[in-house]
Amino acid sequence: MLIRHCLIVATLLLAGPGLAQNPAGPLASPEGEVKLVVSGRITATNQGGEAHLDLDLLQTLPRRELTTSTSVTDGVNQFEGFLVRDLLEWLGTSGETAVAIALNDYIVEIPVEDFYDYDVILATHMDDQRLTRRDKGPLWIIYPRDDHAELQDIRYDYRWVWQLHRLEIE
Amino acid sequence: MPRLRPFPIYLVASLAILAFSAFLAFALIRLFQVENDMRDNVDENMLWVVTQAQVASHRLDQAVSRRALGHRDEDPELRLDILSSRLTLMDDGPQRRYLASQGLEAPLNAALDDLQALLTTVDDIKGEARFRPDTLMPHLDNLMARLNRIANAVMMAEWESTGARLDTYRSSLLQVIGSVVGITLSGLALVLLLVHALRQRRLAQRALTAHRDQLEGEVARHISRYKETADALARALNRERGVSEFYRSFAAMVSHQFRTPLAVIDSGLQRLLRRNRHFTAEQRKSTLHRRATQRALSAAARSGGTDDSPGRVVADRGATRWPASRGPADPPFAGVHRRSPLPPSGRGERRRTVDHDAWQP
Repeated sequence: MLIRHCLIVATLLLAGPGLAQNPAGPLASPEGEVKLVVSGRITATNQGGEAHLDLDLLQTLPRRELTTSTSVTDGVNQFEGFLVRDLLEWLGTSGETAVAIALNDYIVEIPVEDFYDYDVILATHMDDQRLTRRDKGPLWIIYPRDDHAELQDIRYDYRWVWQLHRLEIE
Repeated sequence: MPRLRPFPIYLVASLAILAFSAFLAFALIRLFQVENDMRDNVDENMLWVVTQAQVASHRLDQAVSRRALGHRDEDPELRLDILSSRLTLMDDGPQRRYLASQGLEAPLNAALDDLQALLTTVDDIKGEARFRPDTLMPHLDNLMARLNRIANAVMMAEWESTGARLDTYRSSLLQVIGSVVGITLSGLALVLLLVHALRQRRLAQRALTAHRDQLEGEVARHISRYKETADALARALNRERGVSEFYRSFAAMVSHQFRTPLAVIDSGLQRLLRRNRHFTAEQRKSTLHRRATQRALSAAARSGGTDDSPGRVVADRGATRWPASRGPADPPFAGVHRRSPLPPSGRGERRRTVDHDAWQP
């Protein structure tokens, strides 16, 4: 009986956002400008086997704040956005690698386990200012660099993709 | 010629420890500095940042040109935003400081001015004319030239920096290697001192053991006399105890051997005293003499009947007689040599018989 309860609780915790927003079914179509496209091994789609997400859809995910320094800015910055793993759970992804593609065609492969080992967020705001395409927006992958010494490594810096435009789950 | 004092061993050990610690601390400091320097990779990122800005400017140029040629799928606004993003990144704190340190602050500011002119031109114009090449190209050409200059300067600065860094690393590593050699030598000296100390300790231990053995021998030798004396005393005590025991046994034996005859004599005398008035002086004398002789003979026969001494009395076939060495004319025993009516084993009965005869008139 105890094991059964634990399994139910674990399932709810892991699939919390997804269950709340019907991950297996089709996503609502974006009404605004598409900011992020997720493709690959996902179950929740809304256009041609892909998930096209505008800011309204993205903002249905639980908000998360993160305070950390970066390698390209001064001081400590306050970021606001949502956890990448919440997005992946919401879309019902099952891959091991996320290929992040920026607007300038910068491409980097990120192990999905990063998003479960650390509270990695997709930031939409920095220091209470919305990230724009003329800066590092609209989405910037932010690692909790100050909370984990191992993240203060150049091999993690290249995973901080700004102007994120597309995620391909493999 | 005065003899030099030997170098104190503790001073050598202290110097070795001091050298060991100094070399170790120096090596650690150098390694720490190298580790910190390796973390500082801002210059390596800068070349990538500048080249990305160059690429963005070229792609904007390409998009504007193609759009002018009728390619509707081109998005010059996106390319302008990306270019703006890259220049904004160059204007951020760490990147700006690096460029300023390389004397590139003026080209950076000029490039940002060009970007601002581009953005103003695009934002102020509406419609398809926003990205007309003739209005954008002057600013874009200047921007591309400045970025190219910055990129060249950054590339050379990075190569210089990389070369200098490698020199620093090489120098630091050589110093660390020298420190390691020093650490090794100091450690070797400490090991030698340790071995020496251990050997000295072993020798001291051995000398201590020998001295202890010698002391134990001395003590044993000194106490042996007392031990011999104690043994002699113990033997004398035992002998004294034996003598004392023998004395007690002898006294008991003598007491036993003399008390019985004396009691008989005393009893006889008491009866004689009580009957004294019935005899004359001559009868009393004769009777007393005969009784005394008989008592003495009886006592002698009981105590020493098997003795061969000159004074023994032999009981032979119920008769009591004097040995030959003793003459019958001996006055105390004259006339008393007669046959006893009792066998030798019935002494008590014979005594009664004798006692009875003694009192016959």
